[in-house]
Amino acid sequence: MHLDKNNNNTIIYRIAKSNLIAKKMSSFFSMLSILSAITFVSTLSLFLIGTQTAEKNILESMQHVMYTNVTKEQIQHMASDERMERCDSYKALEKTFQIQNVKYRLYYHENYAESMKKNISVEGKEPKTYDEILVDRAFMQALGREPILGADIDLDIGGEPQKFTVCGYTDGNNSTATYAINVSEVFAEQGPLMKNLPYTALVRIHDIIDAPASTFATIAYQIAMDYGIERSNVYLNGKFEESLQKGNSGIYTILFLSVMLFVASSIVIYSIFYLSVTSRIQQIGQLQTIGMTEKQIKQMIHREGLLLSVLAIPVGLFLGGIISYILIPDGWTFQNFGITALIISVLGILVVQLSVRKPASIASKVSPIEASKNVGTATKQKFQGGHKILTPYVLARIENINNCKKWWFTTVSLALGGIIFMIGATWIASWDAERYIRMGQFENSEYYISYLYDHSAPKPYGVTEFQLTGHLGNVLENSIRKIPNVKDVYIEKMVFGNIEYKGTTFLQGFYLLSAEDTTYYQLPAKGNNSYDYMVEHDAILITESTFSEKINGITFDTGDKITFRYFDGEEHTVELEIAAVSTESVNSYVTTNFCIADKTAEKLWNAMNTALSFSISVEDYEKSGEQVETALRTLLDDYADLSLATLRETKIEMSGQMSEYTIQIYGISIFVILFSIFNLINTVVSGIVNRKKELSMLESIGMEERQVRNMLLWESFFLALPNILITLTLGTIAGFTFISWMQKSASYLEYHFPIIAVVLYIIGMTSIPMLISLACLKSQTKISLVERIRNED
Amino acid sequence: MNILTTNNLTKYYGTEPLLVKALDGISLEIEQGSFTAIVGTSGSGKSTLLHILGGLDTPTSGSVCVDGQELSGMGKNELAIFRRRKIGFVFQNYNLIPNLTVYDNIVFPVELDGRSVDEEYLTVITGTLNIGDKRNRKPKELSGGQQQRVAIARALAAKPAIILADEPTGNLDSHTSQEVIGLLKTTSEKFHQTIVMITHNDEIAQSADRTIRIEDGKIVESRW
Repeated sequence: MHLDKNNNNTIIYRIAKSNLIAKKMSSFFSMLSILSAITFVSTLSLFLIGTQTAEKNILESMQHVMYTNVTKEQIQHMASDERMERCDSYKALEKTFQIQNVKYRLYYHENYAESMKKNISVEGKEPKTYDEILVDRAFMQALGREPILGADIDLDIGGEPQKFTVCGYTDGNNSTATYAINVSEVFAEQGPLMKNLPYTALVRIHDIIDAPASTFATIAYQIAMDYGIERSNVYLNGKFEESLQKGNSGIYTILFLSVMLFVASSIVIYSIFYLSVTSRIQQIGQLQTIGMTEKQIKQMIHREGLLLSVLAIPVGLFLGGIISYILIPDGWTFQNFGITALIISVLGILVVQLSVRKPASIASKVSPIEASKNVGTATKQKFQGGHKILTPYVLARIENINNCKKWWFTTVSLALGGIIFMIGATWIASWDAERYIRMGQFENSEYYISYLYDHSAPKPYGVTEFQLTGHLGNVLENSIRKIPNVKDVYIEKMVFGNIEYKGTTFLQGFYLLSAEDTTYYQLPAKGNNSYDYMVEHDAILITESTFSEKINGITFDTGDKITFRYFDGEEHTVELEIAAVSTESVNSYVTTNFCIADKTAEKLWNAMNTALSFSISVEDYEKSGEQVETALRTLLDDYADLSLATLRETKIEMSGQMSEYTIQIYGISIFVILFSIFNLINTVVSGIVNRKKELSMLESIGMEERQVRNMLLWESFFLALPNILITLTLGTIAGFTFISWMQKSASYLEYHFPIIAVVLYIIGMTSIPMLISLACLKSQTKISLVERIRNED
Repeated sequence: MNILTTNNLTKYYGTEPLLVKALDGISLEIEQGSFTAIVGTSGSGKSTLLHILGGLDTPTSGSVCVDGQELSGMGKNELAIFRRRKIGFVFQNYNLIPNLTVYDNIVFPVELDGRSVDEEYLTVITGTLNIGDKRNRKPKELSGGQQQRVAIARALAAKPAIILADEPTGNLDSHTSQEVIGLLKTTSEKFHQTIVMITHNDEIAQSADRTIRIEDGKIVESRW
């Protein structure tokens, strides 16, 4: 007869439930651990997924490519092309108008509402007749008008005010300086302002979302060629192109942090359950005495873990859902929440069940006889030989030695949190703010002048159009050099063009190598990366090739020829040899890894000004910085296409970013420490609660409250001390190793020991257990000594 | 000479009409070196009396004087110090400190007081109680009877004015109970130690020199 096969799930459930209710405190801390882990993991996951969703939503509405200067007929032909997901005609009037200090521009966008419906709500209809318009509600509100359908409005469009009727409203642009007024096709074709404007085709390409960026560019240019559209009229959506290049690094972040958190919480839960089991050995023995089998005991403990999970996980998911919704409402969906919740719930339950497995096994092996003899919670102690005078200090030492397992769990979980905290604190302390800010363009200068080139709306030949103006030339250079306290002006030169290679096409900038750039020629590379060879063969050098190969989805082979299209006022096509390919890079502030010899560039671009930027360094920046900046701004007033970036402005911008990083790093570290602190609190409190009778007995035979207090304070200290030592040693080593490793890619880091953070940590970790001990003792002593002695556990 | 006297001790709980009179005017005197048993049924007030005599609880009214010192008016810490110097407790549940060895348990009150241990006296006690060979053992390695003997040794070690034993044989079988009572009597005679023991067992009470019976918080009988 299988005695353990009785239908006794209900009784086990009831016993487990009553055990949890009886041990409210340890149940509370276990629940808190589970809840915190679930909240954090779900918030993080939903936030990262939500960010991707939000971005995807935006990109789903936007065009992939704009083809400018096209005709209606071209658009109609393109619309029926099977490569097109959609092809809408579009016109945009450059001129801005104003009414009552509210600025607006006129647009015609075929099927606007249909194409934008995923992102904004539209009420009413698309404009059809000449005088119908579609506007944003915010526009009417800015004019102090009620946004009602059919409202008439007089708009100034550069002549007589024109009466329009609002046939539709969108709800999207609450914070814009210039509002969009969408007009009808009829207006776009017949209106005096727009009839002579050429059309633009807004195109979304079919099934391109999973393709590499280079394939996207290739198809876009192929379409242009097929419909006789010049390359200079092809504008790729830079944001969309970027989204094709992104890897899924976000998922690794989620995985890493989730694993860390689940490990931290499982240690805490294990520890809490272990203490819970060892403190009720007699009860467990009694259960065995009256007939509970080992298997049933294990089931009971596992059931306790499951009950806690069932209570804590939904609350954690709910909190995670709320927080992530607040953080990223645009990307929050019930579907994402549902899937994430399901995965995290399963993982959470698994982790908890794994954590309680060992304590359950310990509980099941309790012998009823042993349990009935159980005298307090003493464990085997090695005879230390020689009696020590029983002071509160010695009593505390004995208590810790006799509870080494409890000591180990608490120390391990505290140390884990402490080491992570040390890594975070070391990172912050080692962050050389000055060096960080000076990374890149400010490495050797304090001012950076460049062309106002919008990388999110790339031009066919990059910056070339601007370079043709020659504004970053000798005239400006000389004027800058004449400014007092200017030390030097470094001119960065770069040329741009489109590479066609192995079926892909991409825009690429080239760094101009001179004979003096020996670091490039010393790079280990496949092929011949000498200056002379490159000049002689009109060849290029590709450094950090893995990066470019990943982005473009191709490999670069030495000896191969690339087709290179460039522009110097006229379009040209040449073939350039790949002289050498290196996987390494030169650690400099040059922003491209493609290089061409200066002499080759001269051959191709002749006398065209190839300056990309001016980097200006200053004598005694602290004193003369303001004066130089004022002078530069005055000079640049004459150059509308040049922008000035300053170290001063970058410092202000970065300081906000750095504060954010600091908060995030400390936040994560402290969150992990929280689990350790839960464990510490539980260990201290349960230790005192379980020894209530023992402590009362000590008082009854003459231990003063002061002596009891001192004993508990020493116990707290011995609990905290090993953690502090481990954190300081292993944490310092971990911090140092981390910084050394990070320095490979982050030169702004210089190792510094985080003194202040460590001092605060030591104070926190020593004072928390002490304060809790004192609080518990105070709470206990409120009950009379006689009652405490009399009360059973 | 009386080592302990009480005068009209009362201990009331609650208020009218639900007033509980645990002790209702107890006046007694205990002679030094005597072995006194206080008997009574469950709820008679004997444990309450013992707790008040030992300074673990305070009376509602009345006074307790142990070895010439008045307990009323003493603060918590003073009572704790008084207990470790003047009172030795023997509990029903032994109440030994589980993490300490037998030796440590015995000398605990002495060292708590900052005094040095009289090793010779200790050897005599442990010899008398037949636990001399168990000094390095932990309480959980001992039987109930052995643990109670350790508790008695602890009570004796500080050379208190009085030993208060609260149902010392409550958790023991009859044979061991007899043994423990015998030991208490022996120590009382050998060390001229005053012992007050409470019990509900009349048979055990007969081993004492004097028996005081309590019912409903009052002394109803006292005989030698």
